[in-house]
Amino acid sequence: MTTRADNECKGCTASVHVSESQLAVMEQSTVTSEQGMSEQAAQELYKERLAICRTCDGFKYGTTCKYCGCLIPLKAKVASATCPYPFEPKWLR
Amino acid sequence: MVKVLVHTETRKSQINKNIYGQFSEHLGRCVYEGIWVGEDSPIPNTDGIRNDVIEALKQLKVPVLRWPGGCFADEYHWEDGIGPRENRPRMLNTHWGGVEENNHFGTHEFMRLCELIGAEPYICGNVGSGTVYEMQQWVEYMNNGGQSPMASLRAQNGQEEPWNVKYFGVGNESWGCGGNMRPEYYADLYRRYSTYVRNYSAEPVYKIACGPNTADYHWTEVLMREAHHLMNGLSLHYYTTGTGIWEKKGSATGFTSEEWFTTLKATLYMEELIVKHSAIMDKYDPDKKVGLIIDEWGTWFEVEPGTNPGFLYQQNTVRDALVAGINLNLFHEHSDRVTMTNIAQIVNVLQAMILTEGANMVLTPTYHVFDMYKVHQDAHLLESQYVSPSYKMGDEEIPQLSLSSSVDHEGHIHVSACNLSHADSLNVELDLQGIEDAVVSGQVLVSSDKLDAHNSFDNPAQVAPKELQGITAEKGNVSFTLPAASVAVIKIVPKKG
Repeated sequence: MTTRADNECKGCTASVHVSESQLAVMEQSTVTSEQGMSEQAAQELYKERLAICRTCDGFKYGTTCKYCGCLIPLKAKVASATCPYPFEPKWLR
Repeated sequence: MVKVLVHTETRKSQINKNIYGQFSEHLGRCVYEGIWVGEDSPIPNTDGIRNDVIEALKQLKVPVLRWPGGCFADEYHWEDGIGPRENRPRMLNTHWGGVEENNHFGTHEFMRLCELIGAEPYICGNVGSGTVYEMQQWVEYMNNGGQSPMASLRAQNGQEEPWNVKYFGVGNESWGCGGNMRPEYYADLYRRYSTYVRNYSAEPVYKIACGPNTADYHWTEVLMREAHHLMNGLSLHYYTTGTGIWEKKGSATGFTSEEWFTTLKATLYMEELIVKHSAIMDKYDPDKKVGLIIDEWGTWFEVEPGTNPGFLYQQNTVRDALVAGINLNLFHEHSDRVTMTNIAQIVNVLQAMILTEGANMVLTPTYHVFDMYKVHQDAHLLESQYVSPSYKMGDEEIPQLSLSSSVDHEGHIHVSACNLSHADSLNVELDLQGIEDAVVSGQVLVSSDKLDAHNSFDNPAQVAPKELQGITAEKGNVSFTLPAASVAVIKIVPKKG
């Protein structure tokens, strides 16, 4: 059974606004995931991707792609990651 | 080997097709991107609703769809979601992390979705922050086919005919995010609000009261005592976590065999909840007129690494398929009281049927279970007697087999069976009482290699149903082997004469 304080709210604790310090913790926790095990993008490519995302209308809350739900500062580090922009992918490589 | 006596001539309760209901909340990428992409999107769509999702859901025969929440329902003001989209006010979805809500997906868009996939709408009304007047007006807007201000407004917005919404929930989780109420207070509010959920057509609205959180039996006692005569249904919410601990739910993938076991043990707790809440309901409603509506259930794990934590996006493995199969079997067995359930949530959130990423879509193992099991919709439950072998992990044990059977209107029998063991296959023999001979076939969903196998956008068919090999019928006995960690549905067509 799930133990939970009686009638405790389920959802209010999860914010879509993610701070730098939270990002650092999340990055650490992805180390053992499929994403974390992937080949990492070169620094130049990483910065290029971030710059493109920051001009995109799908970039929300300063961190998040609305089309895939990913935290871009983490996703952009994965070499094989792709841009899900439905009109035409924006990441050049 | 486990022997199962299936009493084919004794029909029990009808398995209400609404047990296969779904839930769609304005949360993460469920509605926006998962369902609604807008008419200008390059993703093929019908009136803004993505076509790939429509087709997948039509195939699933979704009987009923709950909307707009969940917690979102109790801060949703329906009038923000009608009229020209460019004029609709924006709001903050404070329950779900402060997402900006543009209200582009409102009542008309939801009704269109239901029409496109063939589902009945189940609207959840706002008791937490809404007024009685607001709720009364919404019901009038949706259901009044006569002359009235709200019927005229609906017509102005392009919908002449009423939608005749059948299912209406009066609040959501009023013990928690829906108002932090005590049951005594909510019971009185329910009596008041539900009074103004008026009937505008010959078929009265099926009114659903907010029921308990998990094992809050006091809530059920108070609601049934004070208001059972004014309700058609009482809801129940219970989520399965990977650890059994709410604060540390475990990962959707990469879990151990111990976590596999713990998850399935946690999901089996659903039966105790149904039995104990039903016993209280029986006290006040022995004729079972009030349905137990489990309108939020499913797995709740940590979000996928690298995704926004407020979006509640998780992957979906064969473990989720087992959770779905086990719960659906339980709902069948208790279908004399359980008349509707709504798994959370239909796309991209928690135990979803479908995952999307931009223009890509993938069907989850849970989708395949719902697809395989849909043959039970509106069929009659048959009594199945068996003693399951134990599935042990350390000092703990649970049944290895979960099974239920039904007969449909054509006389075809379907047996759905789950092998909970992560490691051991299970031989099953069905003794079909009252059947001399039959033609049998089966489908099975099983992990191809790893216990946490799942479908990704790169590999969308990693977990998919396949034909169950080696199934045999000899007179009235059907034998088959369930692979470890599998869900199967067996079809039995009795031979005549």
